[in-house]
Amino acid sequence: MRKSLAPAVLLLCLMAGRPALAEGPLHVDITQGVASPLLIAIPDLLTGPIAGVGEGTDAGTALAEVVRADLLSTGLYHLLGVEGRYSASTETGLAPFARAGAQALVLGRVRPAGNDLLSYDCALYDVFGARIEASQRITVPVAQWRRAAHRCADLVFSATTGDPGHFDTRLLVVAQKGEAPGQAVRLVSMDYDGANPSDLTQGRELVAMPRYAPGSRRILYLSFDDGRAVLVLANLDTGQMASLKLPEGVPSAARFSPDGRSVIFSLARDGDADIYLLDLASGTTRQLTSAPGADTSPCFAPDGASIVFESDRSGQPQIYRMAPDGSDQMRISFGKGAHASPAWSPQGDLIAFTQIDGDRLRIGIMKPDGSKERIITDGARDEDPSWGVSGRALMFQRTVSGAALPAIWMTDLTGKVVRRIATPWSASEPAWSGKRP
Amino acid sequence: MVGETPMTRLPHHRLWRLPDLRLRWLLALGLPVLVAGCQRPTQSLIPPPLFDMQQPADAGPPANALQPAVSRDADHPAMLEDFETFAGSTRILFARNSAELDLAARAILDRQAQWLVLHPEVRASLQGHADELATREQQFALGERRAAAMKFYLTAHGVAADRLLPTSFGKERPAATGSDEASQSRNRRGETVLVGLPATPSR
Repeated sequence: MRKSLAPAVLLLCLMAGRPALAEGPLHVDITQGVASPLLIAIPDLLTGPIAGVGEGTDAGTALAEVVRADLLSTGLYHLLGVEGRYSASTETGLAPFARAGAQALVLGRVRPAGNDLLSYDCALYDVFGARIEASQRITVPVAQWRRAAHRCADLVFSATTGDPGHFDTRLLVVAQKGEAPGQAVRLVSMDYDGANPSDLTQGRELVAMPRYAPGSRRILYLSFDDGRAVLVLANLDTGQMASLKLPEGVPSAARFSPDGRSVIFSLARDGDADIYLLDLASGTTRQLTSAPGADTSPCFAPDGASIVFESDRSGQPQIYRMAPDGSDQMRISFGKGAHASPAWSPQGDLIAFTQIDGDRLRIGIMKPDGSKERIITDGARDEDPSWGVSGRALMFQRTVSGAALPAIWMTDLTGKVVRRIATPWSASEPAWSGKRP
Repeated sequence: MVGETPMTRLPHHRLWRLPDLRLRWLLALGLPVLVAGCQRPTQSLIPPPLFDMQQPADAGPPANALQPAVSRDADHPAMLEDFETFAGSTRILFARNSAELDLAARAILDRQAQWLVLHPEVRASLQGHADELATREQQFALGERRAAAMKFYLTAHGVAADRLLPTSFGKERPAATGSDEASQSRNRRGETVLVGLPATPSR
């Protein structure tokens, strides 16, 4: 059915390439962690099926479904259904969306672009201002059609929040594909929403603590090949992997520095674990902490100017902060219980952590000086927080009480929008990538 | 005493009964931690030593009563089963958040040390594990602390330090995944895994 045309918005001016956006009238207010959701309409623009897209459904519908799922998972948008069928080949007027009360409208037009490519024209409209807020022509291989929808959702997210979207990203997990614990453990990478999983390790060895490098094309993980823990650096483009040469001891908890040139990790020897920094080019290591007890879980601030880590030097695990050379170590966590596994947000404004209170583990966030601590999850055992590139969402591992096998969950910073990432096997230890190249 | 019957005298047809007998013996004692170490059918008739887990080693049968079975013998190279049988367990348990060796753990390590001293060609991987009630990286450090405590104890009892390879599995390889205390207490453990030793007799 043909809709009435609003002449002011007939044009769909598409800028190929980057969206250039200021904070427009569609800005979502997320101050204090409390959002008033933006009223948004994301209708299907029907194109008919395209081979390889969706499962025999209309391609426009398949992509719009992914865009809707992405945006709804943040809790920042309220989806408005609008009556009527819309086609990619005709212009769509704003009037019905304005009548439905939508502040924002997302229109995505998909078409084959030859050479197994797919073109997706994604546009965000300010319905009441009757203008285009952001638009982008996205071209991807047909097999990666979901990425086109994720990038459209990223465009909408960044235009309305001012932060980069976390939808066109990957997630590394340790998957448990066998029945018994420790059996058929695989390092698996998948889209952030659980789609397109692929096994990165095939061997029988146990793997743990995976991490992405900045740029998301290299990873680090711990491998227990012959019973000994080894840090492995793997390049996802070339498939090359190498175990890092380290001083004697048991390494763990490795992470890249923000420039990707160094690896910071914990090395335990004779019952004492300390933080070390390895320069990847020269292979030299430098010891940053030397207090007795366990110093572990180091993480750089995104600007590289500070490091947070966990230490039990006070008697129970707490979070400390120090300069990149190991000087000026000071405790920053003083809330209830013990605090562990700190992770600095990509924007630098928050630190996520695991709170240990009796037998319960829960995820919390606080400012980098330790103030404004808030516990945001409420599972029996929630741990391993990992930030999305937006700085507005966290992945974590949840083990539901009584159930033995863990799964990956995602939460916003209020803790009110929580959902499980669908995987056909149990999964743990999430590492969330940055933007995909 | 059972230990006095040498294995070579055992009629072959009796071998099949062995695992069953030993399992029943273990179940009766209610020591599930020992089961893992004894699941393989062994060729030796010597049962695990009869000390109580809560008692120090010298409260059990005198150690030298069993010693002839593991003294060096060129015709009978050491086997994994010999070690498990002699030490009573390849696994010790710890208290929560602790790397301290209690009396039961020391009793097992005493026996492991005795055996390792008699077999200087054998190396051992000391593997510390932890329960699931704290964070992954914290428990990894705790596992290393447990392995280091085992190494310290064994070296103090005469085992050369360069034969011992302490490592940690943290909570990555739990023995039990139930959320109850009984399950988690089984995860607070240290395992002695011999390196480079045949599991079957080489004849």
